[in-house]
Amino acid sequence: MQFSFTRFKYLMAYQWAQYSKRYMYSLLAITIASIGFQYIYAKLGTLQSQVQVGIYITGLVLIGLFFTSTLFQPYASSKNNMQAYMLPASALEKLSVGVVYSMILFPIVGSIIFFLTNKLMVYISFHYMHRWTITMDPQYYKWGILWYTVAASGMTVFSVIFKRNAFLLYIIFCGLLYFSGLTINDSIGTYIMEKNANPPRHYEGNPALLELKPNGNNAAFWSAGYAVYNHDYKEYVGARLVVLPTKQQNMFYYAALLLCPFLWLITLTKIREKAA
Amino acid sequence: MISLQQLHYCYKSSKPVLSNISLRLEPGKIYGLLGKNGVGKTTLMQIIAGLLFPQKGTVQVNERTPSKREPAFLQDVFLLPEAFTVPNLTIAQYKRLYAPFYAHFDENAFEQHLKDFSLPNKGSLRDFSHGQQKKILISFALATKAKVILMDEPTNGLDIPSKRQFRKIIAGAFLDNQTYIISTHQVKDLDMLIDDVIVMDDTQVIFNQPIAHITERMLFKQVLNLSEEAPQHILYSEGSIKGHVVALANTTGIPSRMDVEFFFNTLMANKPAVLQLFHTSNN
Repeated sequence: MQFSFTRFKYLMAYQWAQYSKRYMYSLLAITIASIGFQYIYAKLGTLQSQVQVGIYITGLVLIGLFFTSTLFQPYASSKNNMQAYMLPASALEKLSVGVVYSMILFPIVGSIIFFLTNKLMVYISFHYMHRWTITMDPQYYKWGILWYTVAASGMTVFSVIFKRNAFLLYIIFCGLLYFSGLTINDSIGTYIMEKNANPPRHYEGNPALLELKPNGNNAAFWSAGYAVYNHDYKEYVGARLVVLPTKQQNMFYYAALLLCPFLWLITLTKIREKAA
Repeated sequence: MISLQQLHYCYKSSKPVLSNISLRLEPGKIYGLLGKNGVGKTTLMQIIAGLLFPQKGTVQVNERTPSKREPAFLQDVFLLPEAFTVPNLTIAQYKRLYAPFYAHFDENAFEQHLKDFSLPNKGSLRDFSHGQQKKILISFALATKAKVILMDEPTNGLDIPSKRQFRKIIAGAFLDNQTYIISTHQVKDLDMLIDDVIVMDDTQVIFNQPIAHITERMLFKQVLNLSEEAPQHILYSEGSIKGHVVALANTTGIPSRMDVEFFFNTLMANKPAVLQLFHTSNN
């Protein structure tokens, strides 16, 4: 596998000249979406930390995926792929340039933009709308960049495979993955429960029969948790108590990170082997 | 040097496009790749360029395997496709961004070719007409000085003066260490330009001869009446204002002037006789 830094440099310049407008528009879209949604929620008085996380991760992932799909699309499009394949650089060099733009520069700049707009909107919410709120917990930047990187790596595979609508197909795929995750959420929760056996019982001073039971509502399988279930009233009491033990969260984190090089490898193989 | 050995290619679930093709193309020659629509000219060029991978057989271009698409191979092979899109760049940006990938790119030659095609050397590529975009890409292709230049229907979309200019520029830019393969079904555009004729038909290369051999063995002339010639020597004829244009077996031993289009029509109309003529002569 050949890699020349000189060609890599030429490719960076080539890619920038080709896609700088899209790059700027994507970052502009993040800025607008970030300010817009935070403003709406601030106005409604619900700009809580979880909402900020949602705006940040959804914005970064959706806009970033669209940007990534355009970067790798020439390798699937029958109209442009000849020129993309005939450019004198190795497949590894071509992939690396896409990865740098899509998975290093874009999420970092996108996160900086969200960080600044988040500070601004929380300030506005607090001082001008008199709604008490605090800025997003910085640990979520790590999670945002992680999930974006994993999602964008998958997007590269889809963009080199599908000639048309790669972005749309990938969003559908991710949606299916997410909802299938929800359906197995309870099973994972049950498994966690079994590992942390806690049968229904009457707690001291509490006449109700309570149990720590899996509660997967509105959560993806990686954040499966359990809540206190009141057997007498047949309902959960309060919010989910546990998301995942730190060790298991970290396990998912590293597993997801390990998935990225694997997805890049598939993309690289496709670029190398794919015929026009 | 391009070497193809018993090449076989077919698209998914369809009949073969190329079968059992063996060719050896030398540097220092301009090859005209002729054939009707859909006979596999473009497929063959894309295989040579490493864009398609043959199911059977081997391909070697400058001692490299095209399907590996190594940078050193790609630097030395330039394919100008029939259908293309241009990036949203100016000519200057295009040159600045693409030229560094080609080690032997000649900026002066690029400027000169643009000038010869009467094109300005500035402006956005997308603002030019399709024909002008094609001329810019031809100018770029020639300026790369790549050892193998493949042009698929390069004259499609060019106006008549540009076609003449195209022949002139190609003849002027060609270097002895290069191989040009020009595929076209507008055969007349290659008149006085090519060294060898390759004709494809029905998934195969049915003819591959230098122009010099063709003109030694065939005679193309204008006659008032077909009766002027011995019927057994007439391979093909077409009516014209001044009588008939005929293709004959050349029994004079004096090379005649080649009309590529007329030769192609002769071959298509009377394949066995023409092939027999060359087969006999080769023996």
